[in-house]
Amino acid sequence: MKILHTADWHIGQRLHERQRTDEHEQFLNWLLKKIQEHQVELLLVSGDIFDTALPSSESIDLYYQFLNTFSKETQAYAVIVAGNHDSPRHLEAPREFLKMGRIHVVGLANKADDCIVTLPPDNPRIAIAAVPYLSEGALRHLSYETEVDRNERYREWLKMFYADCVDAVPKELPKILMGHLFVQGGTIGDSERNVQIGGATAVHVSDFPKDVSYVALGHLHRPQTIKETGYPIRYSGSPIPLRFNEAEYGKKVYLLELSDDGTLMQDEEIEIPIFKELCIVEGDKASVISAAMKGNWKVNGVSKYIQVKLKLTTSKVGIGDTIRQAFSDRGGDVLSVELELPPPELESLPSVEDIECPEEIFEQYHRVNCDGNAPDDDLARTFRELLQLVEESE
Amino acid sequence: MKICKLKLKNLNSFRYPVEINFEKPPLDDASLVAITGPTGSGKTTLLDAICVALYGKTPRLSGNQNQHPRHLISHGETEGFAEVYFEANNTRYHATWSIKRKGSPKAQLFDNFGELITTKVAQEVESILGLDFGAFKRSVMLAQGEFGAFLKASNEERRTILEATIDSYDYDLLKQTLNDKVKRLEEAHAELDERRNGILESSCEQVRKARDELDRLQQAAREAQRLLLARQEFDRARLELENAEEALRSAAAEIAAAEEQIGVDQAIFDETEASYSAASTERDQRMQVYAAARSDVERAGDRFTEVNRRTPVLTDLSNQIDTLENRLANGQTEQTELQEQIGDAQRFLDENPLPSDRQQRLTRATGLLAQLDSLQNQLEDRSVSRDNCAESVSSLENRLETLSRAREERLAERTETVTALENADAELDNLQADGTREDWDTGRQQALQAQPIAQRYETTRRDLVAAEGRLHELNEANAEFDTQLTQIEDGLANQAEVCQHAEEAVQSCEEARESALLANPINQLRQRLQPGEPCSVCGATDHPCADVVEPENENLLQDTETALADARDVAQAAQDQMQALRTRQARTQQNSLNTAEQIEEGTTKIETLRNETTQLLAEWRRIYPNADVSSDWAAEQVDEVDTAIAALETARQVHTQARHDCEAATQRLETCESDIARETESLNETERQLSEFSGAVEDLRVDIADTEERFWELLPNTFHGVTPQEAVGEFNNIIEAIGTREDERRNAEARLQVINTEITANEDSLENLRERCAASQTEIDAYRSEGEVFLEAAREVTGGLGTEDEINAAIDALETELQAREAERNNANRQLQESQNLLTEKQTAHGICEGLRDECAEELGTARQAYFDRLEEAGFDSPEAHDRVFQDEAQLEAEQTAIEEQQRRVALLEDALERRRALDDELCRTKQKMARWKRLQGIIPRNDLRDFALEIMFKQMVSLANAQLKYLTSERYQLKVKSIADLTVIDRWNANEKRPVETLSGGESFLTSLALALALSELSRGRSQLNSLFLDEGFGTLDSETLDTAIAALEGLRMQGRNIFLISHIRELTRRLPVKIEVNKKGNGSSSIDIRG
Repeated sequence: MKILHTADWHIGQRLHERQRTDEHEQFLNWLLKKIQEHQVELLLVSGDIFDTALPSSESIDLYYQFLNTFSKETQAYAVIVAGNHDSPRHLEAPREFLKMGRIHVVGLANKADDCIVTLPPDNPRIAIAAVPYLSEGALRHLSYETEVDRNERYREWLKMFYADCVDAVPKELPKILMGHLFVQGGTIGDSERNVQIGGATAVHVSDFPKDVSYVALGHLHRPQTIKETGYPIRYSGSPIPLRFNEAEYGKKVYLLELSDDGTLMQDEEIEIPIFKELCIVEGDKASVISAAMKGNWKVNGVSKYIQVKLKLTTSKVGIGDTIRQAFSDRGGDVLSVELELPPPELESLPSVEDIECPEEIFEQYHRVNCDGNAPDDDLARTFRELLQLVEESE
Repeated sequence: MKICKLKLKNLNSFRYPVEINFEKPPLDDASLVAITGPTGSGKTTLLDAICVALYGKTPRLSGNQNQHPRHLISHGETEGFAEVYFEANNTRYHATWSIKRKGSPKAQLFDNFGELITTKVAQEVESILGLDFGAFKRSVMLAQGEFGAFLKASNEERRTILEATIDSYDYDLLKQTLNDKVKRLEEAHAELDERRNGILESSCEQVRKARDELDRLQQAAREAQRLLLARQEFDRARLELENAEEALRSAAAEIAAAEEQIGVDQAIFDETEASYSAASTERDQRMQVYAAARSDVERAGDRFTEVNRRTPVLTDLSNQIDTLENRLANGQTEQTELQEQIGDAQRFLDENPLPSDRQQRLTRATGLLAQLDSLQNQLEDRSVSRDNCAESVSSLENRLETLSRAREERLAERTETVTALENADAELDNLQADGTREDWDTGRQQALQAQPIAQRYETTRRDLVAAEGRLHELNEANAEFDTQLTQIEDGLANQAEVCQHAEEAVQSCEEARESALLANPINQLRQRLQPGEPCSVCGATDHPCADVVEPENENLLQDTETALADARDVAQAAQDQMQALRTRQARTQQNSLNTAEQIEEGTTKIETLRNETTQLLAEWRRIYPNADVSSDWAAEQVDEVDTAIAALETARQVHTQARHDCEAATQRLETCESDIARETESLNETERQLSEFSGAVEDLRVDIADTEERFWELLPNTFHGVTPQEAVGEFNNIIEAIGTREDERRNAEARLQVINTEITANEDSLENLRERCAASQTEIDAYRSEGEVFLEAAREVTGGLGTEDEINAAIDALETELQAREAERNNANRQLQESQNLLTEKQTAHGICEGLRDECAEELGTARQAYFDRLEEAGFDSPEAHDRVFQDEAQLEAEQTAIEEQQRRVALLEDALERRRALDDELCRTKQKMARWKRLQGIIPRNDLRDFALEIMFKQMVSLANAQLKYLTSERYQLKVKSIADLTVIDRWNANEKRPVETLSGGESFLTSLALALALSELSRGRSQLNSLFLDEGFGTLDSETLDTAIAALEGLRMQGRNIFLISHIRELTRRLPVKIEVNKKGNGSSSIDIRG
């Protein structure tokens, strides 16, 4: 069975306020062509379909247009799970309808059974544990649990969940696990929005069960494979660079072929063409301007997105505009001009508690206004008396 | 802290129980929830419920008197409650709050197992969350809107907004208090100063001088006093000496007086002694006489005693005689009365002679009278019955008359209704002759069918006329196009000729140029060169100068070339013209073609319409073979039919009504006649009864007359002439009176007998008694005369004393006289004795006085010596000089007054000094205090401290806000704050360019203010992690572009594990958020909750 693995589309994402619908549209068209070209039988999308839980109607339109064409013009199946950026409920709302088009969507999962997809449905040749992003919020509440304990419990829960999935599938079928999570050892990029903040913490490679053929993961944007187990645990990465620093590595989808006994016959990466180039230009003002003059910032009628990192010690009014203009003259589109300034000196500020305490404020005030001296005892006493008076009058 | 569940009832517009479970779908996994609803539906009440359950107050009802949370209770309800299940520090709690309109709120906090933790919920919640109510408000309810306003405000406004929003310490109050304090201190100081100045000027020196003066004055006074004392002593001694001499003189005089008194007293004593001796002798003589007289008197007394003993017996006898005489007289009186009584009775009996059988007569008369009464009663009964019957008869006759009149009316009525019925019949028949109801219905059906046909027919006709008009226009247009085409074709032919000429001109010009070129041989040779072929001149195969023209006849060449260019231009122009014409031709042809198509279409359409009209006409004719097609006419038909049907219906109703009326009238007539028959029968019966009663009355009258005759026969004639009852009564009375008189006479005669006997007996007793009385009188007279004799003897002896008492009294008088004489003598003796004693005393006193005078003389000598010594000391040369001083009393007083004055002055000065010292101390203290406070005031003038505090807090907040902003704007913006007035954003995507916050766009302002609100929340949250945040109506100004930015930013917050609840009534916003808590207003003034996901 020929399988194509992709993830982290982030439809609707905006890069420095630029809409990226065109790039996504181009990618999806390209993807469709590849599916047809390679006679792919199963498409796996491991979460983060949309960039936000409340995508714009344009984004939704793009997604369903793709699913419609996929269903009409190919014979393949698709399994899609929700990522942390997706709204699980909304993603899976039309699931029964989509099944008619051979598309299986899993948004919410309370137990292993919710995730099991066997394909083709009438004569299964493969089983997929389509596990969506599991929110830590779904964990039952326990009183008096520490943060560390809770993280540990979450990890344990994921482990059990995958184990249950494997148990729930007929033994003879080859198994593929899907997921949207952070595996310890993965390389975090800039745009994943640190998951730990959301609560979900890393799982260990050893937490995945044995006897599976492939683990198709989403969440990290750099394509990468963790090979400590007997089978590939893979992040396909995002199809388009979501940040400038993601432009430095190639974007990929993965084409696999699985025999009916679960052996990975073929494991091939397909490079995704660059639909819109993202460039970082670094240097002082002169070198950046010179680079702008020399470079060709528009290829085949498509402007490149440029991030300028200016080595400058102080900001100068209008420099951003000058640089933008320089690139714009040569067809480029500068999204940001960032200064590499030495870190700003932070004023030493009183702690939060002091703010509620006028006495401390007064002391600070006195220091500021009277050559750095603290108020003498007499003054401090008077101020305390004043506070007392105020308190009495209230 | 996370809100898990909220329950409430009867709070503001939520009159029914509301339960929102934030842990159930769709709220459980929604990070961004809209709380929507129209203004006033109660969105904010949900927040109030949370606040009140946790803290017992709300942002609007802070718990003071006018803002009691009981105002939360829905109007007209008496109690309400709110419950919140929340989770904090990984522990679950359940807070409840309930209130009655009359009573204080009741709050409870339970743990996860339903065990009551406390009833002091606010305190416990405060310690669990580490947030007091203010901090809770600030941290859970994001103040995005306030910060939005903050960014747009002026400097001072910013401070005010910030101060209110972050709920900082009340520096305004602090300032006010400080100013007040300083002012008070100044006032107090001024007052003290004034008080001090008001006190008498006084110093130690003044006091000392005043004291010295006082001492001096007092010393002088003391000197004068001592001299005065000596003088007084001297004066006193002199006075005493004088007194003593005086006393001595008076003692000598007293002795002389006492001696004289003794002489007088001796003479008196002698006289009284002689008088006493004479009285004693006389007494002894008289005593013997008195003893003889006394025995005579005693004997006379015996005789009188005997007289007294017999006198009562005599009196008793005479009393008895009197009694008997009275009794006798009474008997005789009674005797006379009785005889008169008997006479009276006898006279009455003689005057009223009655038959002897009077008793029987009375009995029978009484019997007849009773009979007569009963007959009278019967007569009356019968008469009443007869009268009743007569009345009944007359009333029945009246009734019959009324009924007869009623029958007349009913008859008239029936005749009338019968006529109405006949009319209605005629009317109905008349209408039905025009057509029955079925006929009209059919007609109406037809007209209704015909109406749409006619309408369609008319429309189609109109379309047909329009289409024909249009076809005509199109045909005209087509003809016009044909004309144009012909014109264009002519034009084209002409233009082709022009082109031809132009081409030819070009041709000739090129030829001219060619020839001009070839005029030079080099040019000719070069012209012949072929690439790759060897040059005929040099043999080279490469021809670098092949195209170079050597100028030979430059002018010629130039001219030809100019001509060629001109010709080409002309040709080009001709071609262009040609092209233009062709385009026009094509366009005209296209137009013509289009018109032809339209003509064809129009023709087809006309055909269709005509068919349609024919068809519709046929249909119409099927219904109305004769009428012209007209929808109006059909409508009229319908109206006509409707009118006819209505008329028919009305006639029918009238007919039915008339028939009903007729039947009713007949029925009423019958009722009336049956009434008359019944009443007539009743009248006949009553008249028969009347005649019966009249007969009975006559019979009774005859019986009564008969009975009365028999009655009068029984009674004597004297009783006739009155009613039988009176006659019987009187007869009875007379009989009874006669009986009484006869009894009286018999009794009186018996009594007369008895009295006569008594009178005889009494006369005997009286005689006896009178004899005994006379004997007793004689005895008494004998004793009396004897006694008189003895008394006479005694009087003779004593000179008139007749009784023993008188004699005793005379003896007593003698004794008394004697004693008086003795007492006189004794008194005189005593007086004499006393006078002698007095003399002795006086002589002694004289001796003492002499001694005293000697002492006084000695004292005077001493005092005199002392006084003169003092005088000398005081500097007086003589007592007279001293006296003169004393005579000037005013001076003495003045001296005394001066001393007192000086004392007062000293006291005043001392007091003033004391008080001044005290006030000086106090002034010193207040001055120091004032200086201290003024210093503070000087250090924090105006609002400087507030501004400073706000600035520190603001900077703190901005640094927290920057962390949020970095996240919300993908690290684009950072806030930089120099002061509250100077707030800029750094655009990190634009080379850190700075922009004032005022220039931020709507979306950027939103993000910035949201970041500030989150920062404030962060700042206030204390130690608890806040997972549920509420954002209340901060979106007033968002356009759809910025809405995207806002939602993306808020959406991003869920990655921080926060649930944001947006309270908003902006449709665009809430439409974008799939999960909503909708608050709906119901008609009855209450609201309900609808959760959608």
